[in-house]
Amino acid sequence: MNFDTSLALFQHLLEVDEQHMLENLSTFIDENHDFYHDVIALICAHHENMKQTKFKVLIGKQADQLVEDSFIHELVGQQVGVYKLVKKLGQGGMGAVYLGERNDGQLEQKVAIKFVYPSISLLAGKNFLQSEAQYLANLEHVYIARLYTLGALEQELQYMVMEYVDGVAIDQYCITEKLDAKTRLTLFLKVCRAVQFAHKNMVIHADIKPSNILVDQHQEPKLMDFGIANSFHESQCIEENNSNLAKGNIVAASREFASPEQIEGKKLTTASDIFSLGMLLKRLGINNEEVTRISNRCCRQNIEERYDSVELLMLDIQNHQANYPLQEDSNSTWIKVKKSLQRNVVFVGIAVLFIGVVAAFSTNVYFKSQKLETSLAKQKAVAEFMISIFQYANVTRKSKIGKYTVEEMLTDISHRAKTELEQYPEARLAVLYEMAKSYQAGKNFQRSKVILDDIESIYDFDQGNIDLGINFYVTKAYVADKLGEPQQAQLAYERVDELALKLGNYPSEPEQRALAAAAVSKSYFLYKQGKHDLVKLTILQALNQYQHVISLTKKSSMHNTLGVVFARENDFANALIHLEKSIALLAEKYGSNRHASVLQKRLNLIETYILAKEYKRAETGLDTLIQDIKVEYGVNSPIENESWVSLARVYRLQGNCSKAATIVASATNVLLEQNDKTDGILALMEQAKIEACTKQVALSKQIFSRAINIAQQQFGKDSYKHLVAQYRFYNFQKEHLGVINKNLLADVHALSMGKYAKRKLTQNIIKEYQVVINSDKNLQIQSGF
Amino acid sequence: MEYSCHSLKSGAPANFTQILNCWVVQNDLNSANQLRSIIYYHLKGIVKKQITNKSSSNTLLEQLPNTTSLLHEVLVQLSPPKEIFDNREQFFTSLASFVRWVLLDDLKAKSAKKRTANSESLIDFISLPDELEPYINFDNALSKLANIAPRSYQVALLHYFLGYDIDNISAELTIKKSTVYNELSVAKAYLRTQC
Repeated sequence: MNFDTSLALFQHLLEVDEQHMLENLSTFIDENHDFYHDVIALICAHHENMKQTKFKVLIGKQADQLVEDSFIHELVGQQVGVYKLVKKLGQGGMGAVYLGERNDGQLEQKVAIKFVYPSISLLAGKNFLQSEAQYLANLEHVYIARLYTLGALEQELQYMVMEYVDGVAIDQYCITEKLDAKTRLTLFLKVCRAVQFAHKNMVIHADIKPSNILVDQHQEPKLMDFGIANSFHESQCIEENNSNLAKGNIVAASREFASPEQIEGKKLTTASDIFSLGMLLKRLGINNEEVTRISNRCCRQNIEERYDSVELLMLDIQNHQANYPLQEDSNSTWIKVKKSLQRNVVFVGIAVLFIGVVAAFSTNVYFKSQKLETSLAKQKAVAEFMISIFQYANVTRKSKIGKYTVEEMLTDISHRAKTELEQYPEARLAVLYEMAKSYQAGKNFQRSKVILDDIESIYDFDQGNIDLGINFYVTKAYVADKLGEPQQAQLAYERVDELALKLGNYPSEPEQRALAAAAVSKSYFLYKQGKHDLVKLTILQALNQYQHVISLTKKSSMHNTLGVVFARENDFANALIHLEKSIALLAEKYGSNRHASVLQKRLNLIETYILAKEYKRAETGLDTLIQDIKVEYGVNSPIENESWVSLARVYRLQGNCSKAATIVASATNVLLEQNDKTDGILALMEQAKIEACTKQVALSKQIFSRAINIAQQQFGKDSYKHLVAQYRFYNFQKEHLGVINKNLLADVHALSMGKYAKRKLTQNIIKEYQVVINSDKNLQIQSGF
Repeated sequence: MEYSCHSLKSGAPANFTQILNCWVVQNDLNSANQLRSIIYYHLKGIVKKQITNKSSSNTLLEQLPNTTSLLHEVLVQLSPPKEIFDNREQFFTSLASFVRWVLLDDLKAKSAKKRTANSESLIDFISLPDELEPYINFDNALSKLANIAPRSYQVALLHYFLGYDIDNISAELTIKKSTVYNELSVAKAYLRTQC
């Protein structure tokens, strides 16, 4: 569309979406355009007008009454429905909030009643409060103040009846109640839970600050005041119009908790709320280095460097509380992009979703795929497609907000990409492929597969870029594998091999990288298939050929896989070489062998020493490891206790069972307190063996039963953990009680023949079963004669 | 309906609409003076308390619709008969133009201190800044707006000089409220950038 005057363009922007004129402007003209600054000035003037209009326009009608501006502020004593307004609780740019008490003799009830300036209702439309209410109605959560009802006093005086929270602002509360750091964090976690809930319901709070979080008499926080998300759009005008300092100050009042993008008036995302949560966490005055690290990560300027979701923020708080290490900041932009897509798939608001997807798309389309960069036509196609998504976003936001799930919209986008980008196959491929990967990252493999199949049906990878084709089939194989379709995965890897054959003797760097990624992915697949020789071959070949394009972390993980494979085959000499190499590479990457991810690998290495019966090496290794863990994590972390259990095992295996018994019990108890019971179950079984070794057979039996029970409860009757626990119990009974529990063995055998048929343990079980049951049969046959 | 503007001079009780028509159609100064008188006396009758904008921070743009809204009350009693004007739209536009003209005229007169004791001034009822310049700027901006966005201008005219709000304008001009809102916003934004 073309506009010959700034006023005409402004009028159009106003018509399309009043709240987002600044953003939408850039879809028409850029800042070099003749009247760009004129339009900006008009938009800013409009925002200014909106602020000042108030309801003078309205009261102008009744000149003889000469109503004061503050009429809405003087409603105490008024009756609103069944409530009498008792006092004013506060006021803001949109209106005022009163305390209402029910006085119809039915109930004693206090509520907060929010009035909106009639002029605002008039100008923003009568549905203004309704749309806010629509969001709030979905937000039924213990830590969110509830919305009861909506009404209107006179024609234009709308109000909202909400849960009244008799409480103190959270920061004040922490000070007056002299809360300790632990309680403050617990309170903060509850706020996070409320925000997380809102995000899941596609609502961004946009104004998280202490005065919006009251702590009530039950010490529970309540999040209030949703729906002011648009009030920041004026802020860009302040920068344009520096002369008016007073206006700047008004906005500055809430700026402390607002994210940079919010202050810049950009579209809000869940990341803006995460920023504000970080500011809030800082305000709670918890003097702890790790907590500061968490809040700093929330408050990064760059959205991608913040926590991807409130869940992850909560996870780190919980990690901190449980003495776990914090999650790693990832250095790879690619992973960040993927994560942001993942975030978008899972929880964001509709507007946010589109921005996020578009941002991620453009990152990938324009920067990742060099081939696409070369073609202007393709860029244009993608750009147009993105614009159409924006239009779509506008339409849905106006008419159907809340009815579409993000899933549905992504489905729709993929459909539109398929049909509308038909003339631009490369762009269509890029968009669809990114969709598929974003689903994959969001662990929705079924949808990912559908799109991947679509791509395959419309795109001939034999004619295109080979590296792209390889990457595509690796993704396809990965998704198939995750869906439990190994044959499909196998076929996809065969396609990778076919494509690889087309490469010349000297593949380009992207091609090498694709081949290396394929090798890594394929080796995991083969490992799961139990094809150990092929795993070794694949990894060794890749390490040999593509050394300089493989990252340290990938190399480390390849050596790790090799080590595990060799250990499986009882080739401990080779296993140890690769595991040590893997640790060395990781230590090189992180600059220390005390880094969190190195410590876990070191423990795995020691387990392999134990398997290799190198007990002395294991013992010295564990001694230094435990020292290092204490330095890194402080005392009594889960990994420290895991190490104690290993040490106990080393003692037992060397015959020193009484020494083992002194350390195993307390470590086991700590591990059982964790949410994930895997380590706890393993520790229990170790404890049982140690007790058996110290001749405490009854106790040992009891402990085994407990391990089996927990495994069954936590992971299910059919779980591998349950199988292992049962089989070990069978062995224990045989060894220490002289009992051959045939029923248990039969159960274990039946379970192991199912989905665990390829496991090494299954082979042992089968052997045992054949020995026991066949000898049984022989006996029966003999006795029969 | 046929009538003569000269007959108005006779001093017989005049039909307001007829007078307005004379002013609009024939640019008759005599009828203008009569209109001014009529409006003045109506204002005097209606206004018990004086309208003042206590807060000095308010800009001219904000004050106008409130102050001129007094004229809206006048109009309630001077409602237009349909037969004289082709449509109500023209009537209201004309009346608003008249008020615009009177205000400018009165302000100029006041500033030149040419005002005589017995001439009635609308600005006695309307609190406008004593300085002439801001208002002249506003008026000039309105003229520019009339050229580049006629419909916005028309809506602004009714809003600023008759004190009409969106509902009124929508009803009188029979256009959609959203359109009125849009046109008025355009006018206001434009005027703010110009003043």
